[in-house]
Amino acid sequence: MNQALGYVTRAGIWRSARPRGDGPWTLQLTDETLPLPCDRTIPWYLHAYLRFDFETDRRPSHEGGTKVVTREYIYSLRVGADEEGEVLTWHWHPNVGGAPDPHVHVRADHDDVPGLRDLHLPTSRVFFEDILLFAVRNLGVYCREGGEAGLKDLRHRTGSWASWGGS
Amino acid sequence: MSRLVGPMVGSLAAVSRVGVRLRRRVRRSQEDYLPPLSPSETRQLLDTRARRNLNMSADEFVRRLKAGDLPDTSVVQGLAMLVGEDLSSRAGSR
Repeated sequence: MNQALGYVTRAGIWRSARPRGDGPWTLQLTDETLPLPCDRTIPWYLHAYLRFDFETDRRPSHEGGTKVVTREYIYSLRVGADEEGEVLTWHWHPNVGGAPDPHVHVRADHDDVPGLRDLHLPTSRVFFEDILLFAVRNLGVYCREGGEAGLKDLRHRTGSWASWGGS
Repeated sequence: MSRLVGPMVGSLAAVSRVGVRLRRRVRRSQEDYLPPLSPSETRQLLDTRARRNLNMSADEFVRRLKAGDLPDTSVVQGLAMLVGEDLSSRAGSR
């Protein structure tokens, strides 16, 4: 995760936390909301969390090993540091009633669709590398030389390890 | 003697630049391997961020989260991941 983040910014890093001594782990950004380098007057910001755990690896040729399993994620892109600047947010929180599947919230309005921004728009599973690649390719966020290729490679590897939604 | 000063200063500057880069690389690699926050440190972090974002303490955040009294926002769901209690099923009101 830090390798991916490092292709775009070193303003902060992911750091793990163990809220409970025997429960899942959480990845959180050391600066809760990170500015992303770009050429906008008002820069883009990243606000993200991820919860993970370890389990026995049952994949062929990996039996007996240990693999990381993502349990939950929040990836949010903002045009300001505050929550009010949130524009795009990808959620997966299977323990939340009413919205167990991956989805995205888009801060948009339409006269004929009240509450559009509150809708849970279904998505496939998204990975952290997907968010960074999207930001680099579509939002003018900079990445260092070779960073886009590096992110693509990381995405491919992470996807190949994932137990679901990796393709 | 004066003819040697320039090159000597230049060499020292080059060495110091290399040293700065090395120190920066070591610091970055060290940062990548910071130890995980303990449960108490995580609780303190939760309290700090809950107060900053939601004007409430960690205790109040947990109480209201369990009660389903908080919206399904990125801030709330993110902070929920810092909660140390079992929230195997929590409500979202968005």
